[in-house]
Amino acid sequence: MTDEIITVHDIHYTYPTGDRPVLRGIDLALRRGEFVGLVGATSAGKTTFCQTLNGLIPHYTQGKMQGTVVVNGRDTGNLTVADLSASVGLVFQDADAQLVMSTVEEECLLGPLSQGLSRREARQRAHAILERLEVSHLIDRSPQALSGGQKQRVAIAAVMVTEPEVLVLDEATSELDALMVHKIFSLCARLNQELGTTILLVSHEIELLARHAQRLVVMNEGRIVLDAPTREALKQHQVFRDVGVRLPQVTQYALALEPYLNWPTLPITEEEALPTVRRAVAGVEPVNGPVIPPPGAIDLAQTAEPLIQVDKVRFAYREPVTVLQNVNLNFQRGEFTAIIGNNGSGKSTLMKMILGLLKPSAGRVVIDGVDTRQARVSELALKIGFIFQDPNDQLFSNSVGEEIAFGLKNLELPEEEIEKRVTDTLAQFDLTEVQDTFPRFLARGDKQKLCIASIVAMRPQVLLLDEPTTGQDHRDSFQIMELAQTLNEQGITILLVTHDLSNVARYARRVIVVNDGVIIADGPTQEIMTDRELLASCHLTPPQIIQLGLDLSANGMKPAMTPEALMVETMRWLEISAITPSGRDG
Amino acid sequence: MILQKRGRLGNVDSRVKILWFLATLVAGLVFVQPVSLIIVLLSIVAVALVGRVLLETLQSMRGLAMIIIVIGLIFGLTVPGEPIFYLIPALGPIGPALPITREGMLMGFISILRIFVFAAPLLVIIMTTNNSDLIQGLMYFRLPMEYALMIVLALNFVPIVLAEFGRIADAQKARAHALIEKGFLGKARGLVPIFVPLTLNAVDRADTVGKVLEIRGFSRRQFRAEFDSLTGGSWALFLTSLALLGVAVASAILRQDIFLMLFGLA
Repeated sequence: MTDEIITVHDIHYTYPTGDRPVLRGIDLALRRGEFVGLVGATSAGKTTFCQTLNGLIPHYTQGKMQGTVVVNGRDTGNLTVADLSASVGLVFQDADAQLVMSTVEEECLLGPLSQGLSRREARQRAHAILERLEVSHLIDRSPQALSGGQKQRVAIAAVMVTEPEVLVLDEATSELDALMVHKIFSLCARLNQELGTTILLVSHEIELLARHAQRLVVMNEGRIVLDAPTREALKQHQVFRDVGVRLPQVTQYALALEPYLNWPTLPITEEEALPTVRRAVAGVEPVNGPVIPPPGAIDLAQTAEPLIQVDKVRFAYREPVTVLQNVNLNFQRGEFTAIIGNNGSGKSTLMKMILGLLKPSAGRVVIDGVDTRQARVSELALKIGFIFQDPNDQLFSNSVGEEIAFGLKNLELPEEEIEKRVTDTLAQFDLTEVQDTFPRFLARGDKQKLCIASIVAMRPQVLLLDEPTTGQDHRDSFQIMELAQTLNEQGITILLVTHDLSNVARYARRVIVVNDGVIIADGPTQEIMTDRELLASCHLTPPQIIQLGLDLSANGMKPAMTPEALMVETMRWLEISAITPSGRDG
Repeated sequence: MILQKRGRLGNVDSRVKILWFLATLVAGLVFVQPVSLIIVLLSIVAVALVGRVLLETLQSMRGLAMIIIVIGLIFGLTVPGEPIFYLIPALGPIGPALPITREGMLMGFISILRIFVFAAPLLVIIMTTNNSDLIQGLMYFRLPMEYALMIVLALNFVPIVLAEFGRIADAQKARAHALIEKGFLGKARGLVPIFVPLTLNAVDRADTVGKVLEIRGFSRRQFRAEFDSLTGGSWALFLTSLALLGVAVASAILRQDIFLMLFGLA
């Protein structure tokens, strides 16, 4: 038997409704027991490719397919998806949609029972896999009542219970908090090492892929543009840049300092970078060079009356279980504040409270002098715009232009004013070219941009962004955050709920940490993001570059929020050692 | 919503629960007298009470309140007979109008009782039966596996769609959309921004569910219907169901309401 468990040869594929091929000549071999990371921008064809591996394409989703996919020596064209399910398990991005039964146990029984196993055997298998994934205590719970991380682990269990030799995870961690993402990656590593399961993991979490994957495959526009062992792949950084996939933060930092530091090998984790930087800065003092100010350095306590007051708020969906307890917050005009916390901490509830979608069980929320208990949401929408996580929950019009006009019509503005605002907004958001397109046909990044555009056209004073970059690739995520920053510079107050702490570190000036419905910290970004203990207490971890900066702070360096800022800080130190070593001695 | 508190009925064989549902269904169709329907309903309440899911069942039925009121009004207004009172009294220029009749009230009351008799056992079964048990139970009664799964998935789908409805409504309210506009057309127009995304999302979700079932090997059709031996609770419900079915079938054959005869009301 060959070492290759899956061999893909020259796959071309076009969807039944499409006019252009999504896959254009893919060749790939997965060897038994490998852990492979698959990266690429949105629309690169990653999801389509994953679905060819277990036969969903072309058996479930038909279309035009050429080439062969061979699993365990058998051509998938001659097998059914059910036949292949014993060999290749696939976990989707949306955990909610793939949990279809009434309890966790039932979810894990469906696969084995469909394989013809007796109920007793199926149960034994289900219990064993739930135990291995550390979710056996949830066995009688409804999947819909679980947290995001729990749902995703149950989804993996429901696939793993049929004991596939290959596990494919298609962006299965994109909606999870940092700790849960780490856990899922560790779990995959464990399944790979302990059971020998071959793993193909599609993810934008490049730092974790660099740590766990043995090999990286980069896709772009339906082709594989790079396929190499992880370290070798990351050395070809230009390929990553060209296709819009970012490098690990530490690698970005190392590449920027390559002319000054002699890296034994290009670092891809903070542990690898640390010794070289430590050696370089040991025993030297920094010069007074330029410093990139951390976002938290701007003083916010200047304006008089707060724009938003959250006063002793308590909230419970069902008494007596409180979701928010004694929340006291003030937001000034022009703030860019991030609200962070793990899944289920109460962040989104707090946002809904501010928008007036939920009314406090006790206490009050006042927006620009208006108590939300006395105002309708449609009235508050004049002052506050809310961007929901999933653009598909919002988009319904026949065209992009109409979608932007929807909110303006609700405000009962004059026709000319609506037309003018739509035209201006289309131009502002670079959507003029697609103004007649059906919004659901847009790429995910553009959909999110359209949602923001349709709210911004209403000219709110505050913009609430609930996980706006979830599921977006690096390029789209960057565009959305830059857009938020531009709007903030134009005077719009931004409140951002996100799991992406690298965006928090880069853009927010203030950070609020919510844990179990209680505000446990509120302060400048630099202060919060460098408090490892605080973040760990609510299952969060600082981004890689901050971790490296914190490790280097033992040498006297200042922790930085971004790779560029740490680079500038390192340069301050390197200039002494590089330019005036003798001077230092004398 | 499918409950996790399965009570004592959780251990009752799914075939027996389906038989019980069929027995109540037949009884609900056969009996036309309020007293008999109340007796059937009381037997259902007793099963829910012994099974410790009565409270949950009543809570789940709150959603039917509006339908029940509407049906009561429709019957009360449309069945001709002796007026009890008028919705528009004789004081105004067009009164008295819209009479509520005694016959209509009776018909409405019977219809409401029937709704309870039909819906309550179904809710009890959904709340107390695992999906795979329900599929196996339905398969035992010769329902093809695909249909059995379809029924179960449809039942699971309801709370998900309701939650999604709320989320989409929130997203549109955030764009100053007032859901309730004036007039019938306004109301219909107001729901478009919710139903369009809801429908498209449901189609996407159904597509994913289809893929998930394929991935889990469902189309192999090797799902086996196997059952443990009946517990004491299963036997008790089985005998109750047989008794109810027996009385209902006998009443239908004899064209006599046996409950009324038993209680001396015939």
